[in-house]
Amino acid sequence: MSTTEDKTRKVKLVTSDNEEFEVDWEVATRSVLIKHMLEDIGESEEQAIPLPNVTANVLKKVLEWCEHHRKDPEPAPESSDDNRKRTLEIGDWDAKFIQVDQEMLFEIILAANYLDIKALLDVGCKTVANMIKGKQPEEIRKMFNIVNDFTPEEEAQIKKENEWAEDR
Amino acid sequence: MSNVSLISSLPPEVLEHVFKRVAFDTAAEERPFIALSLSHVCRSFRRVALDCSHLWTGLSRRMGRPRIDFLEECIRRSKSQPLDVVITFYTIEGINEVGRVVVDDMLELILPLRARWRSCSWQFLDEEGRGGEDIVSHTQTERLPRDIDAPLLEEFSVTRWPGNDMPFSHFQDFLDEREGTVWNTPNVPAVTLKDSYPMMVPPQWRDHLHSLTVLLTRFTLTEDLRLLRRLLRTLPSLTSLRLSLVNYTICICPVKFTETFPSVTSMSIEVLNCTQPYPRSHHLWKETRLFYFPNVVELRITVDFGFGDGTEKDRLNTFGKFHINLYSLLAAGPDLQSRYPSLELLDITILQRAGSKPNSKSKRKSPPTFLLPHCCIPSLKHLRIRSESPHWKLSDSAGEFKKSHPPYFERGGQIVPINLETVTFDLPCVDGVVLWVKRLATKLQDTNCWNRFSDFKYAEDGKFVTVSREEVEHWCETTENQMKSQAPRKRKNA
Repeated sequence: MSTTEDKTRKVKLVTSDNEEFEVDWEVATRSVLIKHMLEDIGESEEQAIPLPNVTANVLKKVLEWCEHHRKDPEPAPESSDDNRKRTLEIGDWDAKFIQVDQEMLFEIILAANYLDIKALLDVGCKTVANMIKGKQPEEIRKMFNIVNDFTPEEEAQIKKENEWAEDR
Repeated sequence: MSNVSLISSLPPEVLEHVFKRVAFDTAAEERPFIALSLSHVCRSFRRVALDCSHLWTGLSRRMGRPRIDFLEECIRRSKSQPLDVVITFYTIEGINEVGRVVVDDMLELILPLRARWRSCSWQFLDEEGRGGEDIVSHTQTERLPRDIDAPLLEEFSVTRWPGNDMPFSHFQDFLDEREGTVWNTPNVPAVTLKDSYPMMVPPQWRDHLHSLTVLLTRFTLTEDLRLLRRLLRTLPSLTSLRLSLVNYTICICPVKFTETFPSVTSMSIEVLNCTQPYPRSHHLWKETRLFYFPNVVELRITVDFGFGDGTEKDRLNTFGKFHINLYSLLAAGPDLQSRYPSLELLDITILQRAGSKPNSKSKRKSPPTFLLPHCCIPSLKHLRIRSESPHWKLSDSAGEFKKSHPPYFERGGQIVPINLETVTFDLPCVDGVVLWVKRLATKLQDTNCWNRFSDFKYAEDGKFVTVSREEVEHWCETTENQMKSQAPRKRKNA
């Protein structure tokens, strides 16, 4: 539970390329990882939190998301059905936020996963899911520069599986 | 662009998260094929896909496709996940030309798994739907037990393919026989009816049914809305109602009185690609005004528009120069002040009809104009309008009321106090709504409601810009001036 004191507190974050960001406690603690680290270091305001897996340009983008969602309620713990909501719909603001090139998209997903920001990770995953949904394997390979690395034996199995979709 | 595959940098658990999202968003009928595609991309995709049990939870079979051994494999790969099953029924002609209903023999495979059914869809396919193909693998409907234990069931749907006017009698007889089916479910599932007889909602669920979706496509029957009213009357706990009319011809049904549905608090209405038999007969308003929802708080409306190119689709949507489909769904009947007196959130989506484009041959020179009087819902607090098309505008008034106008135009011209606090436009440009906002500010001031209003937002360069109450009038003036100065340039470019 955050206190009034927490809300006025500033947090320093240092990226892998050594850039320092000073942000509000409420914004920084959208990340469960940072929240836990802050709990570990206690009241020490001077101590910067190192984020060795995130570069400055990605953190800037992630913090933009955290700033916009700073007042959002804490995400519910994962339910047994993995938040089975049948939709790939993304909120308007999030949809515009995530309109970035592929490289930044995957960087944001990796950062959200590392920083443990579930809602942002979900926005990223939904975006990728929207990109691959309904595409044939070859189209997916082309879209993401994926090499077909199946062995001849595996290719034979795939051919066999494709027959499943046929009649009877 | 780099040759490195960025998606390959994702850890397996994140890729699995992506695949789960795909699975959750894909209908049961398509899910096994999508799962198969994902497992055929590369080795890392395959490893994750085979391990992602959610991907393999859709079990459906129609006209012998896919093969039973594939469905068996899907069941194995789905591990213990809840299943979404689609049971296909067919009509076949008997020896004396008496049709009977049979069921795809996939039933034998999924019946023993009914303790895992999360959703169950009954789909009825008549001869036309089969495209004349023979049914090879089927079994008798008697195999479907009268008592169905489905403790996990959350969704139940009945769909008729194709959704046209073909006789439904064989299926109807079958369903009448099945009225005695007892579903043993601890909770009442959400029900969807697609082109189906509304009374198909199992009677045992009606008292506690909370969510109903009714999809009507390609029908020209006059009875659907009357039957829907009859069904709604039997659902005292219904809180969420979605009505979708697509490719539908709206005719007048013989109901003349308004009926109240007090339990519904959230609604969604889609009217897309619909028409009516005669122009200027405003059937959409006549039919829907007789539904009174005193406690609806949230309403989502999706409508479409064309460009007055003379197609019959414009018969329903237009009255003179106005697009009236949106206002037809909001305007009160003659005996009501408001059809939704508790409505607080109105979310409108305006779609440009596929294939309809602005062209010089169109009779109408100005862009399509949607009628949305400011005061039509006094209780409204938040209005949101989204569209990807810039080719329309919004108008608050149809001008002075004339006898030739639909009767609800008169009510639309009235100025009454309103509760509006926020307006959000998610549009490619604001040109079509500036005048509407300007007049809104005037009306709010005239009715002493201005202090209640907070702000309006519009999308610009991928972000929302907030214009506070104090800035609204200045913003309108500045934007209008900009539009005027750009107009000659636009004309020249055109």
